[in-house]
Amino acid sequence: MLEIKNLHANIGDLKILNGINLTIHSGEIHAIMGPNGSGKSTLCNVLMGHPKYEVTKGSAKFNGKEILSLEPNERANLGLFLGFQHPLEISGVSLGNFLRLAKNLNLKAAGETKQISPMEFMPMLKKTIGLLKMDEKFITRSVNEGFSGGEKKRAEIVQMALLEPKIAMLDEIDSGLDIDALKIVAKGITETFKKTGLGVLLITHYQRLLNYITPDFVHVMAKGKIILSGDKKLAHKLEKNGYEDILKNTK
Amino acid sequence: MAVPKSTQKLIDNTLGDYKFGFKTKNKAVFKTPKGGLTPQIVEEISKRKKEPKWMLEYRLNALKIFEKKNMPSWGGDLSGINFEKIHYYLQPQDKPKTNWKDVPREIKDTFEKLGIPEAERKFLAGTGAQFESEMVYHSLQKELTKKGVIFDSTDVALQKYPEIFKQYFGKVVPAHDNKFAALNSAVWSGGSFIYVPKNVHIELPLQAYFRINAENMGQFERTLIIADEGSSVHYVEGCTAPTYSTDSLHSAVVEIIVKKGARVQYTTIQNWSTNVYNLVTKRAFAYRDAEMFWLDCNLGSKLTMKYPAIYLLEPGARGEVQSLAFANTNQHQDAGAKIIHNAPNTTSKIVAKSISKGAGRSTYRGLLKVAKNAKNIKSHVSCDALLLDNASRSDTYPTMKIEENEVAIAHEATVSKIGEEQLFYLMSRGLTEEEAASAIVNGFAKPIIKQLPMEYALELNRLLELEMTGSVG
Amino acid sequence: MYKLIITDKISTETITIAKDQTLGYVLFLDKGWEKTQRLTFEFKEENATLHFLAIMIGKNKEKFPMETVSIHKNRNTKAYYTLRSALFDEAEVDYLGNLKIEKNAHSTDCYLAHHTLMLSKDAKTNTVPCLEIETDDVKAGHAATIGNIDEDLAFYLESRGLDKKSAKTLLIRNFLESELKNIPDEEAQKSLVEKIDAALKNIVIKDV
Repeated sequence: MLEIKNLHANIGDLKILNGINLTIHSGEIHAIMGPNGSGKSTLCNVLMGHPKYEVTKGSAKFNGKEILSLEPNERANLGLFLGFQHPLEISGVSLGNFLRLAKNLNLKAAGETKQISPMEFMPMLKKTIGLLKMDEKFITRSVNEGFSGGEKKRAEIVQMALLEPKIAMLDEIDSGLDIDALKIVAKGITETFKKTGLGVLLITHYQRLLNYITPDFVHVMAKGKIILSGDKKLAHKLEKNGYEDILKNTK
Repeated sequence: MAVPKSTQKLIDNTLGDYKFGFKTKNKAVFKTPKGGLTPQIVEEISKRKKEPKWMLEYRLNALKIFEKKNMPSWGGDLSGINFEKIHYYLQPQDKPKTNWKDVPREIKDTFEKLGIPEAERKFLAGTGAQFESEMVYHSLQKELTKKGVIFDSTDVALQKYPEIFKQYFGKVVPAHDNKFAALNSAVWSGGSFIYVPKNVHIELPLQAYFRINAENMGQFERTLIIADEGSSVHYVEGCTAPTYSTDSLHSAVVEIIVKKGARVQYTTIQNWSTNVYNLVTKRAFAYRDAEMFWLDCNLGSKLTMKYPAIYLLEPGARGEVQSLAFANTNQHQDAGAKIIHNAPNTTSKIVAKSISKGAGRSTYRGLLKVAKNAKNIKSHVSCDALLLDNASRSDTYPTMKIEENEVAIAHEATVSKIGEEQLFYLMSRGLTEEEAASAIVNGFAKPIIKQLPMEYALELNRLLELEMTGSVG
Repeated sequence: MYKLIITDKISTETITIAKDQTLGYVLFLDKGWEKTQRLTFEFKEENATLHFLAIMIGKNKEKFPMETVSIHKNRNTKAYYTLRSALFDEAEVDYLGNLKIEKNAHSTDCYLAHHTLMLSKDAKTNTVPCLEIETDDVKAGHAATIGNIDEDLAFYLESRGLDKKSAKTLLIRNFLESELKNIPDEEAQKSLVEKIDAALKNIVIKDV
């Protein structure tokens, strides 16, 4: 469970998060929507511990443990995952080796003595890559290097499926995807959800993704705050009427 | 952006506490006395080796040149070298052996500590190993001898193959080339001599190991490789040395001749301990349609000055230099490449990657020269530097001298640090900051490392990791 | 605050770029000289930016020996050096460009590119782009290209009816003018185009 209370954060002198309150339990799918500049991406990055943001107030507890003072890898070890909006290229580091390393590190941090050997890992990796309909060749390619936008997003879901986090935050996983890719990504998420019962926080602009992943809760964010919460019907309303109405009403 | 706190701590705690810093007690039979190099010492060296007169004269002449020449006015700081305090020759045994069983135990121990695989392994064609300036162990598989391939210590080759030796020795790097080539020419000892006959291809890499052991030992090996027309050979040189408090000098000379249609690859991994001055002159002549490839990886040492050079002397010749340098605290890697296009229709490529950490300094110094009438040249140079913290330093001095217009030449260089975003991405997947930085550095070096023979690639990856984490043994 | 300097002479001097200032410096060189000149740009204060452009057109036995030195001492400074040389006859360029970034020059962004078109077999170029970097928080790079007129491009133009000489002239002009559009002053752009034209008119573009 991820419990966020009154979270405020800045970048330099600029205030971006102005008091976020949100609780995500395992097995729940939350969607956050909102206009550009509302702080949606910032929220994910702050929760994961991006060094360029400064938390000025508030708390975030992961299964009762305060995470805002932890390093990003310590948060990952606890079971938090961030699917990046713009996944980075890491030249010379192959996707396969990187994922096995990450998986084993996370196992170790969880107190497991068993480490997964390359031979054991390969079938797991191939299955997951297949689920996201990516060619096996991606296993030996450098992480995200030369990947198209859609391939990068699918690779993020491959990572999520393999690392089996407890709570996954997906920052605009649908941006830049065509309908087919979108369906594949959604399937990847729902399959993992079925398998592990993780909690999911979806950041998205468009209602479209929510046609394939049914959220339990939909929140609207504006100016660094959650101004409205509802269920999936809220998403439909936003799609129809845009954000202006809601922003006006909540003024 | 400020350096992340934990990285800064890492830098502060890291001293090149050298993993291989052990010593074996030395049973040397003859050691030159300290007090500087004299003609008497040179004569004694030549006498003990039972050399022909012409070589003694060559050495004495080179000594004169050494005394007259000035130290180079550029490059690293050489003020710490005290020529008076160096032993110029050490002979632990009287004769090089051909059987591993006969090699003295102490020497074997040293090799074992270094994790060097025993010689007669099926994937090695043969190996010469140098210890204290002599080729101690040397073995050549029967197939090679049958094919007419010569792979011997340079000392032995001088005696056994005098004609071919005299024909090529000192032709690529003459004694007057620079002060350290002159020094080497006066006191050279050990090194490999390889001759590959026409159209013979040696599939597996030939290797050699050597190390400096005695305090103040200078290493002056001399390697000469001749690849006759249409032949090919890959020579691998990798060395380590223990830590000492007074300075060690390593001044080798490598001469390579690649004849028409032949191909030579010379791979080096050097990991000298941090008190060693490593000043090497390496040069190759490539003739018609010949190919020369220098693959050069430098870690360790106090100062390395090394600029593998290729002279493209006839049409169709191709030269490539790929180099990787890692400069840790108080180390200076001053390395690069020199390519001279002296004939038309020649191509060249230089890829240089350097990493600087903890106030280490890495410098790329290169020369690309295209002479008049060398038409239709293609050349590409790229140098990338990775700075790991605010204390380290990177310099690039590439010189391009072009005297012909039908050329296509491109050069690019970048300097960067490990991106905050990249670190964050990797850490968000559970890697610690150290592990993330290490992965990125490994990825940066990978294009070069993956070209090394596998066991070297593994050793080098391990060495890089040690350098990155600052952990010892 | 933007300032533009256009000059047709290089001399040994140091130019300091002030805080928050952007300096555009254009060197139009169509006459050679003997002694090496060193032009130094110093960035002592933060947020200083330099856009440097040198256009060199060499003919006969003209020599262009010059150095540019960029010294970055403070944070957030930017310097972009572009040099384009077109060398005819026995002209010779001898250029050293040094980008020096000192310890406190955090967030510096600098780049140097020297492109040379060698238009005769007796032309010569020596170029040494250097980097001396003492801090990791920096983006720095350099590039150099040396070549001749692209044969395929020339052929394309000729296939559209241009004679060889016109095709070559067009490509050389294109090469020299390609950075001009980055100068935020239309009058200045026009005058430089005219200067390039005038300089090329004085040269006999031979069939190399």
